[in-house]
Amino acid sequence: MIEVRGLTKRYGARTAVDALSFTVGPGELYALLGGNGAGKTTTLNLILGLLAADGGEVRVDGVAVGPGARPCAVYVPEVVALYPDLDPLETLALFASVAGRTVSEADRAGALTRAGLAAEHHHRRVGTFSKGMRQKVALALAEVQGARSVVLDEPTSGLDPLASAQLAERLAAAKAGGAAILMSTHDVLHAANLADRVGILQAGRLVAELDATGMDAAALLAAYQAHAG
Amino acid sequence: MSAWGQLLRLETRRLLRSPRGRAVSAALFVATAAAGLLGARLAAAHVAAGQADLEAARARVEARMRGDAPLSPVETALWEDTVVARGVAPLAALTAQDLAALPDAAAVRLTHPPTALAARAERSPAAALLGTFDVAWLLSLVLPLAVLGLGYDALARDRARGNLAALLAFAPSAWGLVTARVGAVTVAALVGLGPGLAVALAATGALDGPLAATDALLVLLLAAAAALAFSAATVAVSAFSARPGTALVAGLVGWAVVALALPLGLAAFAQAAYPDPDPRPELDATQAAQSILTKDADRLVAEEARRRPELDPERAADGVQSVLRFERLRAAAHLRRVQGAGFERRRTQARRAELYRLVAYLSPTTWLSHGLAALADTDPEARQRFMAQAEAFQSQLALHVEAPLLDRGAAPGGWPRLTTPPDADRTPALLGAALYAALAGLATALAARRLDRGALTPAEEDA
Repeated sequence: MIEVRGLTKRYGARTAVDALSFTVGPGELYALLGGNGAGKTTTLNLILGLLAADGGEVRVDGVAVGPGARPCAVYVPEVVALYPDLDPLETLALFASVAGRTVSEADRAGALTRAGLAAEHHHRRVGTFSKGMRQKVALALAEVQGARSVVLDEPTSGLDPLASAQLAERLAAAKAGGAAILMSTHDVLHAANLADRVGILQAGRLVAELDATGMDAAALLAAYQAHAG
Repeated sequence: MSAWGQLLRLETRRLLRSPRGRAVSAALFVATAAAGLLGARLAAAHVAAGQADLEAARARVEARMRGDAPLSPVETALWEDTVVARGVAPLAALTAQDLAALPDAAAVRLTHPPTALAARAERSPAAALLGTFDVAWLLSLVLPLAVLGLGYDALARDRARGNLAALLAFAPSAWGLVTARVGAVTVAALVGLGPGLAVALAATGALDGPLAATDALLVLLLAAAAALAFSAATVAVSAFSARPGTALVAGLVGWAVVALALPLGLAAFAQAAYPDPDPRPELDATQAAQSILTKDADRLVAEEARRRPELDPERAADGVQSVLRFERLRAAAHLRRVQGAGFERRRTQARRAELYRLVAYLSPTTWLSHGLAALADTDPEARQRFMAQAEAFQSQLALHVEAPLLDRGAAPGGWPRLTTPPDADRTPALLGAALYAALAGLATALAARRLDRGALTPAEEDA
């Protein structure tokens, strides 16, 4: 569960995130929708404890987050670089061992398979993977690390339609498993397809929060234009 | 296997699989082995040259002692062509630059008195930079660069890509990640350096015998500690850099300061603090004494007797020709001036060596070269000790030659030998390894603290 209360971040005289409040519950996918410069990535960095907030509070699974206290959440950045000279099994082992855990190869292979990466790719180096395949590896990290919260930054950016559909399946499976999923996006279509709720960001402020269940892309676009236009 | 052990294994594998990692490791191996092999050849050549000079000098003097005209007291003063061999310690091959620049490291030409040339560290910056390719030069100048090439992006690339946040999301502290990356860079460097050093040590013969093997192990320990410290410093620079390019530039600037500017500046300081005295008075006095002693004494006495009858040597109470006595007194006065100037020169060199020993601990790269030179017995202090031994040897040699000439019978024992068995000083190497370990700990702690304080992304406003 991700809880954000009155979150504020300023850069000099400019307020990048202004008293932001929202909650992502277990088994829920929340999309932060906004244009370039709306404050989406800053918000994610604050939630991940990568930036120090000037005000407000973030809690992930009930634990307060800050620069000295990072949340136990899997973070899938927009550019999933990983390590090109390792294969996916080694990648999962590396991430787990940084956290002080050892995970058996069978468990890692199972997580990769459930994330949608076929077994034939488990021993290929990640450097040869497409973005969609790297995202699957990153999502498998959530299971391996036992994460209850997942944060994704522009996950559909640069994905082809098939990869987007596979991502939607993986996120649906993670939701069904009880994960709280927060993603930032400027893609109205994918936000409508994937999200349960959508928060519209405009100049760092949450100008609207919509229930996206049953809402199609056209309706969401109209709502976005009404609030952010 | 523990989680940290697995992390170290994976980080090392990742580094060694990359083309850059393989290239740097291979280059370190080739360069270290080549430097060791070249050094071994150079050291062997010096020992052989010294032995050959010694035998030739002994044969010359013995032939004159056996000749119809025995060596006169005047001739016994002429030792300028006497050469004695010095035993070269096996590890001297690792500091071959000192040997190459110092022809008297293997053989000391016994002028009156023996002279010592400056060691590499005491010479000019150009000599230190462009000197002979040897293991000490390689480790102190090239190893930090190689480690920088391996690890400059250890954390900066992850930060620039946004991987650090994902990597550390579940880690209670960045300590494990930072130590594993320092370890991986160290291991990747040692994969090339270790076998290269083993080849070099085997070529020098340093692995023969338990005592020499101990010193060889100390060389490996010092090199490993240096690699660890340079790796930790590189990873720390990477931790404080937003991007790999920034880390590389910062590392190169740091290398230029620590490996070049600081050691050369300190050597220049030592040279300026204790400059060599003007050699002309010593040379002038030596030349004057030799000029007097090499005169044809009989002709000189006859001429003087004709010109000044009152100095007829036959009238001298002790039977010694007055003119010859006078000339010998003049020569002795000159030689006393030579000895005085030599004392001043040796005192300056001793003080400079002591100062250099102290300032060598101010730069991390000289911890290594100083430790190796002390192990190889080619450091400035070892040279001072050798000069003292050479002077004592010179006195023994004079007594040995003069004894039969003065009808005192044969000198006891055979020809005196200047024996300088390897006298490795292990303290600088052990101290250097301890300092490297401390530096590694400090740099690693700084890097981990930087990450634990939240510096996981490039410091830019992306709102």
